Amino acid sequence: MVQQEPFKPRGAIAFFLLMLLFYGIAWFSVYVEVLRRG
Amino acid sequence: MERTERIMLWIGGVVMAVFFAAVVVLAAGFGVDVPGCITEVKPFERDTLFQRADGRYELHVVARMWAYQMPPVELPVGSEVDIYLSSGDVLHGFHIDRTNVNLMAIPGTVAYARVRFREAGDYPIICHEYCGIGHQQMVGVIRVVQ
Repeated sequence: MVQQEPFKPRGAIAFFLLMLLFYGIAWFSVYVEVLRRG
Repeated sequence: MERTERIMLWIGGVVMAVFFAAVVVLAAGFGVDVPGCITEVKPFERDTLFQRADGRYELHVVARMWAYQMPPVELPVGSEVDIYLSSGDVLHGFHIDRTNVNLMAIPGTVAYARVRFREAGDYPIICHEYCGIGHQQMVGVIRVVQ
């Protein structure tokens, strides 16, 4: 019988983290612009 | 719940908390605020510029098709201006370039924003709400000098 390693959704985790990173960059770029215009 | 799900949930929660804290810092620490809409006062029909104190001004602007009725504004660098905006006819926009001022001139109400001009130069004002055939001509300027 073949032993399977426990499933870990690596693709979904990577997608999620990249999505948060993208949101962070988009959000903070607007944030910095608002601060700059003061 | 899986361990990985819990970790992802925590990461998402922390990111949202950071976003929220950043907004609080912006409002409380740097005085950045959303524009106000004053509905309990009678809208003014005359444009005026008052000096309230040293470096503090109050500007009343009436937006009409298709110009801003406002006095010539020339201010020293560092001036803080309370802007009150009303409309004499239809809906207009009021955006001062290079600042956070972005108001709507709504007939029957007064919009309010406070702005500090930190750099010298001309700050163009544009109407960013389509208000009729002459909309594209609806511009103004605030001049900030040393």
